[in-house]
Amino acid sequence: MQPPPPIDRNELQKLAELARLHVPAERVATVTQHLQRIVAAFDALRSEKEEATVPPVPVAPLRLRPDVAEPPLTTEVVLRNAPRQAAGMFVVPRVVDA
Amino acid sequence: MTPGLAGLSATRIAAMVRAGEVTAVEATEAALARVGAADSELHAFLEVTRDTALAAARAVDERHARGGDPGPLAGVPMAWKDNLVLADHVASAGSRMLEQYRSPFTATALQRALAAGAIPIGRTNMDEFGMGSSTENSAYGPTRNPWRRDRVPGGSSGGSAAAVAAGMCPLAMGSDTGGSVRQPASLCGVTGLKPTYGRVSRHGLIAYASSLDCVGAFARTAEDLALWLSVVSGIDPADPTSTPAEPGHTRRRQDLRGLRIGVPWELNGPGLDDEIARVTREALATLTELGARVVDVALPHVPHAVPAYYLVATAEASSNLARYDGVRYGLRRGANRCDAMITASRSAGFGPEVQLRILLGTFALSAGYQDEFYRRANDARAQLTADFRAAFAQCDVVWSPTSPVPAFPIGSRTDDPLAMYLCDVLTVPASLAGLPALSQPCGFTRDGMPVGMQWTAPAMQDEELLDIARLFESHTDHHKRSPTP
Amino acid sequence: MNAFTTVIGLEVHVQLATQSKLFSPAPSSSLGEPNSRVHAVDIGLPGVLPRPNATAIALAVRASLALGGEIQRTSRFARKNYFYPDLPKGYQISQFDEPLCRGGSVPLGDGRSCRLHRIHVEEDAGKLVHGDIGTMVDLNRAGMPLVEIVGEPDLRAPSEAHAFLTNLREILRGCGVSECDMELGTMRCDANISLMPAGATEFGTKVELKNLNSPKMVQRALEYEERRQAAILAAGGRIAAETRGWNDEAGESRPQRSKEQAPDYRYFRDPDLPPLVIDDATIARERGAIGELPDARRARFRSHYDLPDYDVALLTQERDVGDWFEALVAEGIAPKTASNWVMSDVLPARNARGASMATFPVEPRGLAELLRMLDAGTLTQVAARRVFAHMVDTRDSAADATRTLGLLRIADAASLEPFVAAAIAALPEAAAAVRAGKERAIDALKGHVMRATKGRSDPVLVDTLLRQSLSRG
Ligand SMILES: [Mg+2]
Ligand SMILES: [Zn+2]
Repeated sequence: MQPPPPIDRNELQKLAELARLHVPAERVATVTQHLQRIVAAFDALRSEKEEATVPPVPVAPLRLRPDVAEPPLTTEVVLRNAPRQAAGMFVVPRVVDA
Repeated sequence: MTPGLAGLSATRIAAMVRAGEVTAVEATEAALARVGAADSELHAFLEVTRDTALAAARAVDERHARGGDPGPLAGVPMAWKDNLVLADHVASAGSRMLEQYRSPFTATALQRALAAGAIPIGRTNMDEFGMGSSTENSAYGPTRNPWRRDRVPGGSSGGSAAAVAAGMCPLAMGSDTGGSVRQPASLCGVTGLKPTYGRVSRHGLIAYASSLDCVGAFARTAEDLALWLSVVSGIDPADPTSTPAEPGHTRRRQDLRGLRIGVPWELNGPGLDDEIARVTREALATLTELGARVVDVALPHVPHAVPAYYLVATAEASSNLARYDGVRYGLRRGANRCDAMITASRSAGFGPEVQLRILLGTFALSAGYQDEFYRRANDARAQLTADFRAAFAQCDVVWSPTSPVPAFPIGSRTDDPLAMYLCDVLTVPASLAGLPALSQPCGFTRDGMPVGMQWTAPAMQDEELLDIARLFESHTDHHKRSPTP
Repeated sequence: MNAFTTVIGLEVHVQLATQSKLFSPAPSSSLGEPNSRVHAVDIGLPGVLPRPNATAIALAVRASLALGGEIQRTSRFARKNYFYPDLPKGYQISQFDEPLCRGGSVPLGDGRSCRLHRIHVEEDAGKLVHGDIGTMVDLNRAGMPLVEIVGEPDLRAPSEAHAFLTNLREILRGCGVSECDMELGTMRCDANISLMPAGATEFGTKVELKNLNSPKMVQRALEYEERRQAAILAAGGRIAAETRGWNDEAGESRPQRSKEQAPDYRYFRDPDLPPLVIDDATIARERGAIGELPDARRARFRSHYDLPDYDVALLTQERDVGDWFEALVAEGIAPKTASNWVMSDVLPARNARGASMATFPVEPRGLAELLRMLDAGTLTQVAARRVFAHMVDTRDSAADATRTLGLLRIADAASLEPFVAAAIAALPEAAAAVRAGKERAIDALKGHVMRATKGRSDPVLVDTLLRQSLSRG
């Protein structure tokens, strides 16, 4: 069994980017340590030798809705909670493609 | 105003309103008065919806006066956890992110309770997005335990538990993902039900972890919870995971004689606080005196339950909480580029525990780790479900304490997330298996803090749990004790 | 002899012809004003859950069956996680490692075909409009039901990509799955293209092309890209793995972003959606709804009606047209006659009115009545075409239109003789020429009679009467 994957500052940086979170410099050490401890504690799961031999729990299949259109929300309601809006649309700062 | 009205059960209040002995407005005013007197110290409520409550109460009274059916919950003052949305009201999920957010629609469970005559008196405090076991992770400050103000009420539905415990309302709705109804019920000395996954629609419940989230409730009697469940459960077209009501529910159990109580050593072993162990052992002795039979059962995969739970729950949460990006609603922090705005908004809107769990969940799902962590967690979940299935071949219900510890001092565990996660060791197994579970008061520690015991039944046998709890109540009076106001 | 072999694979998104969106009851019809076709589910409001649309699933099954794919009896929806302001939930509900359908193929003509890797169901994203004050978000398109059809890299020329798309469109349109209009965006295509040395077996570095709005444009863009890559490789250069946008006006592609680093989408099963189970009844029903596929229809029209390829191609281009033709034949009209009328009269009239066959004012039964009158000699060919035009304008029956227009054929000698005499009198030189043995000169006299009778005169009888009259001297 491999040792638990290291959650170091680089890994934290990668996760934070994926999650669109900014971890301020003064919190990096604490958060890294918390994640490290949690992942280490959870490592027992990885070392579990036994394969999942049990059949998956049976679940009722997906219920489907009849294809009937209902009146949509008014644009006023759609935009009610918008932090910024114009011309019936949500407005965000300029999108710059990576 | 009828004195003491606020302390009555939901069933009693509804009966009185239906019989014309009190009006819904009177019952509502009694509850609002009790909230006014008690909540400044407890902070169970984030908002008291006085106008909405009185308007609803008047509507119930008018319907009744015109000869219409005021509904099975007629005039029952009811609080709801801040992660259930009510049309045109704020629903913040205990988060800065949604401080101003007003929902255009109402949660199905809430809608059904209101249609049955319940009176919405206010939204209650909670750990942000349901992430916590103490209600200390609320962006709006902690709730205090009505039994001792320096203790936590448990979480994440701590506000609802405290509201019922303090006699502010007979019924409060909560949500339970890994124990968030049962654990605070235990710590606050009230009865809390987590129904079978899917029995109550999640539509309008602000998601934490979709495959685990259940709408639940707190009351001071099992009978009240049975009434609540009968009103809110059932299939909902707006929730593809909702299930139909059980076809042909078994006859009501008349006594506890012959009840086979499965006691898994994995949930009753070391790690329990001494007082919890003592009180629950005594309760088990009482149960055997009442004719129940104790059966040893094994849940061998319980040691994997906490890791599996935290990996599954945070993985789902990392995705469920991606919608909070400052684009369409919620908190926005300025920036001149859209991606920077999204990061700034999320970083400012979410508290530290939520951010930690999003990072953990992102880790669990990320390339390279998903197979080793997320998939393993799901395997463990399937194994645990099979453990329960095997146990139920030998017993009718599984029994254990609800929480390994009584209510702990505010601030005592906030520095150590892992220690906090271990508070959930007894409640997460039923959550992972999707089973109905209930916590009810079963005694008190030497220093007077309530202790709860947890019942877990096979899927869809929620009513069986409620029957057992009701029968225990009929022979004991732990549930009747209330904190000194 | 080409130095390189071109390898092309297409990914096509097709919008399913439903009434409502994939996971919300908001209308999926025409888009209208910004944010006017939006349900709480489409904004991703707190507390909403997806409500899957039965017809969307049925149409996806139908598309899969029509393309010969293998329906997976149990498939799963998965979340594709990424942040973008047009993606309301921060994830797209799609399918990942458990798609609805595996395999299948699209015919390319000449009996060849391109294999399909998979077909899956997913929701569309919203639309961004870039303005002065920032970027604006319109969620009308968010949640529209799509199938993504992923082709294998079996195509070896840009023209094959064109054939793939036109045949795919024909099949999916034919069975009512989608309008498949690339210009309206109900069909969208991304193309992957790489070059490898002729004879090699390992594919070269691929480039993804986006912004392709018609099969023609796909072909043009691929031809450009093929030349661009060949030039780089011939000069000893390296192809960069990237996404390039096609600019049709400039006739060139431009780099959009590098694909060196694959984004981590953290796909996982959507915990809000139980497994999608397709039962026998659904498969049987959707198989029945496919009807006849274009290739089979063409073969049948050719053999059963004995029609030339040109006619077959025209009649099978649209399912409605073929159906109309067959209804006409079922009325007892000879196939070639029916085909001629559909091609030279029905289709031009329909196109001129911008109508569909369903709303075309003349039904096959009405045209059959007209053609029987023609066959019986009650009408001339010329008059029949005028009657038909009148029927299209007025919805009159063939008999009524003929009466209204006064176009019953004149086929008795007594009625025609005055016209014959008038023609000989009006064209004495032509009459003299015929008498002198110049056979061809008789056409001018016939034409005169026809004009005078507005095309109603029986041409054979006119010929006989003219000859009789001229021989009498
Ligand atoms: Mg794709
Ligand atoms: Zn796609």
